[in-house]
Amino acid sequence: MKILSRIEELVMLTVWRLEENAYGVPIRKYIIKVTGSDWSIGAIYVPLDRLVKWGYLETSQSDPTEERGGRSKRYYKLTAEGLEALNHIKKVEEFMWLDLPHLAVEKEK
Amino acid sequence: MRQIHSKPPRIAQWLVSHTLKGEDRDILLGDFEEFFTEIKKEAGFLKAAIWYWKQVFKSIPLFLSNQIYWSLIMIKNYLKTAVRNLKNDKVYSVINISGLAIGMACTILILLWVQYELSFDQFHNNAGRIYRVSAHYHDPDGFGQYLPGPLAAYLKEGYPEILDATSYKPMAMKLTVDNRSFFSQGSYVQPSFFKIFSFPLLKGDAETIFLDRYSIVITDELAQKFFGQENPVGKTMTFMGGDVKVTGIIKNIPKNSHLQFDFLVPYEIGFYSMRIWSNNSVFSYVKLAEHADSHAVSQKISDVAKKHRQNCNYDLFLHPLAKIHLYALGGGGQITYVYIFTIMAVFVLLIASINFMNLSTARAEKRFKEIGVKKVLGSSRPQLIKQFLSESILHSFIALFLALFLTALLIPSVNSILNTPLKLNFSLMWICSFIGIALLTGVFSGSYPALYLSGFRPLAVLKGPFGSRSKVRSRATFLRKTLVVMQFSLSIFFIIGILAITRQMNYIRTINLGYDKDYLVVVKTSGELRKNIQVIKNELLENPAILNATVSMMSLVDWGSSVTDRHLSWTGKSGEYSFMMGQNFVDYDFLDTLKLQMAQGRFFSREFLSDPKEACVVNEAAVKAMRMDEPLGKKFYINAGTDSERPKTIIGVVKDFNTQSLHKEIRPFWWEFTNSGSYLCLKLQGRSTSASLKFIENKIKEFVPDDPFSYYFLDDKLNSLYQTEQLTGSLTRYITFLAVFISCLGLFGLASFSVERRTKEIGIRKVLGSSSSQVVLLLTKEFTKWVLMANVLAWPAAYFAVNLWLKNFAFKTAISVWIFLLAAGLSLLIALITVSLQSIRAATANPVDSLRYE
Repeated sequence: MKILSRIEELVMLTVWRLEENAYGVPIRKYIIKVTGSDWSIGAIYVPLDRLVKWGYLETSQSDPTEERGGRSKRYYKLTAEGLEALNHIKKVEEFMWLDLPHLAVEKEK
Repeated sequence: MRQIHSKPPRIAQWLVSHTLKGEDRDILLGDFEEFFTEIKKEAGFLKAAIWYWKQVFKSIPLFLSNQIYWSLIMIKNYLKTAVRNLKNDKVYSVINISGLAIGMACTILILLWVQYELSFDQFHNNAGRIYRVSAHYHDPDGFGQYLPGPLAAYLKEGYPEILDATSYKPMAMKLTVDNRSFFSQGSYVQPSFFKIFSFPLLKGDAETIFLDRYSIVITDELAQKFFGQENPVGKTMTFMGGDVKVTGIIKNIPKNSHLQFDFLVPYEIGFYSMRIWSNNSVFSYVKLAEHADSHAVSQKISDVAKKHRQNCNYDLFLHPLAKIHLYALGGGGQITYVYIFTIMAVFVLLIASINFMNLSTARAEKRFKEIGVKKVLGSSRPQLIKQFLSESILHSFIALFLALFLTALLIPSVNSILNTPLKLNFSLMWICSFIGIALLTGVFSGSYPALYLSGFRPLAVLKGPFGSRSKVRSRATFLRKTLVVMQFSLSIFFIIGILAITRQMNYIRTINLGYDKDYLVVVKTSGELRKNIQVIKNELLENPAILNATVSMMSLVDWGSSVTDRHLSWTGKSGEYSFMMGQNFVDYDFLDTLKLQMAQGRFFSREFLSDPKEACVVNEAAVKAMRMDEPLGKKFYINAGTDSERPKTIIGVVKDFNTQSLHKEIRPFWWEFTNSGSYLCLKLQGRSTSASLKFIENKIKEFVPDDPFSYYFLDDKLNSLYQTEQLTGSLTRYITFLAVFISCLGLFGLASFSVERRTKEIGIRKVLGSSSSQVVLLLTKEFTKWVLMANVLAWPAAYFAVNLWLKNFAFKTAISVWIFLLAAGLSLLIALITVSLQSIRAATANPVDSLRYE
């Protein structure tokens, strides 16, 4: 099982959350909203493409719409493997955060 | 207006759509446009357009790197499959790769040599501005480089375009330090020499090096020889009976320089003949100003020699330094061989590539199912093409590594054959060309199989052996036949070439030269011996192993000096003549030592006291050139019409004999008598030549103790005249062998495939009563047909090429039919042996084995 990268994890969780509306535009908007930084279209597309090729996401196409210049949307949906990978990374992260010793960081005055 | 401005920027869209492929393109353009529409609604068109552009620039690198990443993953996959296929069919892979490797090694070696040849004299700074002044003779037509000594200085003075000029008078001279002497190759030059050429000085300063006229500059090698580890600068050497001081050390001259010397001395201390306009014996080199037009300068200086001397029959012109080694002045030269071998390299590589094409299309039939299944499972044609191309490229890269290994192994022997300093070189340029060669052969040899194999219709491929598959197969078979025929034509072409070269070289070796060249040794003595030479000769003759001896003024092999007919006159000279006549001075024993024959009259004889002063002997060619009917007793005037005219009487005509390269016709010649000269030509008894040589050396040492002993055997010297031809011969032989070998590898592979395919047919034939020999005949018939066809194709081309090559020789063999027949026979024999290995195995196999699976 591949360990998901942070952006891959974010993308997959967004796809999960958006349910029926998970295509490029809302995915990007949501990630920008949550992270607060500007992600370019390419920066979202690349992990999406990778996740599809790994089989963690599956795609379907809509009919063409007017505001897209007569082009169709590609909707994403989690697959079983995708879910498993997400669970895995969640477990890894939870475990890593568990019972960390106290860290004495000197705060800047 | 609104309508136009409602769309996203066109160019940006175009950019995006060209960095993405297939479905992704549409989807992403859609995403882009949706955002764009939204921003336009909120902030207007301009903002939206700027946003769009920004996004495009941010995203495109990501799109590209993503694509590259995934195609690399694909290539990894292709390679994995390719390695599997390679392991699957080992015989095929071995044949393929070894063929390619040999071909590539051959090509790399040839390229190394070509690069070496092309590098001649290129190491000088400003090599492009350096020229050698050359002469174009009118009468008879020809070219020369030997010019009057004062020319260089005159050119430098009189022409502003000529920045620098130097004379260059090469000469083999004796150098002595503390009683140790060596003959070395040196040259008289002017100080400008160091400004024109960039031979690096290890010690000494180019500006002041020849300030003192008794200076000498020697190479590092010579310095080691004389002085060992000591610093040679300031040391004294004896040169031409006087002392000269070493003022500089020059780095050893690289082999790819046409100027080769061990030492340089100032021009002023040279001979009188090097300072007069009426003697042609010196080279002149010039360096032009930066933007000077060499043609214009050539025009300007063309009549310089004519201005300074009467009877001058040549124009001057500039010959570029870069061309001196490669291009002979009259056309041709070394460049011909560069072309020939480059073409050969391409041919050999072609033959190896054809192997690959043939074997992979032949093997395709075994892979029909694989391809069919792949296609049914959704492989696209481009994917299959990539798959096959990566297979061939993998093959060619493995072959490249083997080839480099082979090359490294072969280079020492190639260097000793060619006398070159070639070495494998991994500079960026060479690495690029190695990879280039591998890619080129890979793509070239893989392209046809890739297109052919990927083009199958899956249904036809999977359905079975009938229907459209057999159509595909017959087309492939036709192509394969064509390629094999082509391959064999090339090999046969090479075979004919090598047969013709061998025959011509044999002819040259065994041709009756008109004299007995065996065991003739020529000893070159220094000037000091000249007075005593007859004494030495007589003492040498006391040794019974020395059968005969003669003294001559000039070497017997080199042309020596020659004179145009306008300086000669004879009884009955009338009308137009145009020829050069050679001259030499010899003593009484010349005829007997060389075992020459007289055509008419007699040779110089002790019985005629007037001979030394009045007589001369000519050869048959001279009689013909002078158009004399009755030459005996006719008058012959040398330097006719000048103060130094020498009237002679022709007392005999020597039958034509050839001491020259057989490239040329026998030239007209005359001999005068002399009692002294620096060349001693001795006829040795066949056995114990080394003892005789020792004897000669000791005898000469008695007279001049510190003279180095220098000699050569006449037949060695003669052989060296055909050095290029012998090199071409031996190189061509190797290349031919390789070409034939690679062709045979291919044929072997093809035969094994065709036998494999017909296993069942053979089984059935045998069951029905065919004998083994009938089966062998059946299988070899096809290949025989191809080879015969290849012969028919190769013959005209080879005839043409051989004819062209033989034009270089005045004495040549006819191109006889048997060469072609022999080549045909050889090629057929080789092909049959190769094929029969396979077919005999198939024919003797028990039919039960081949049929039991049915």
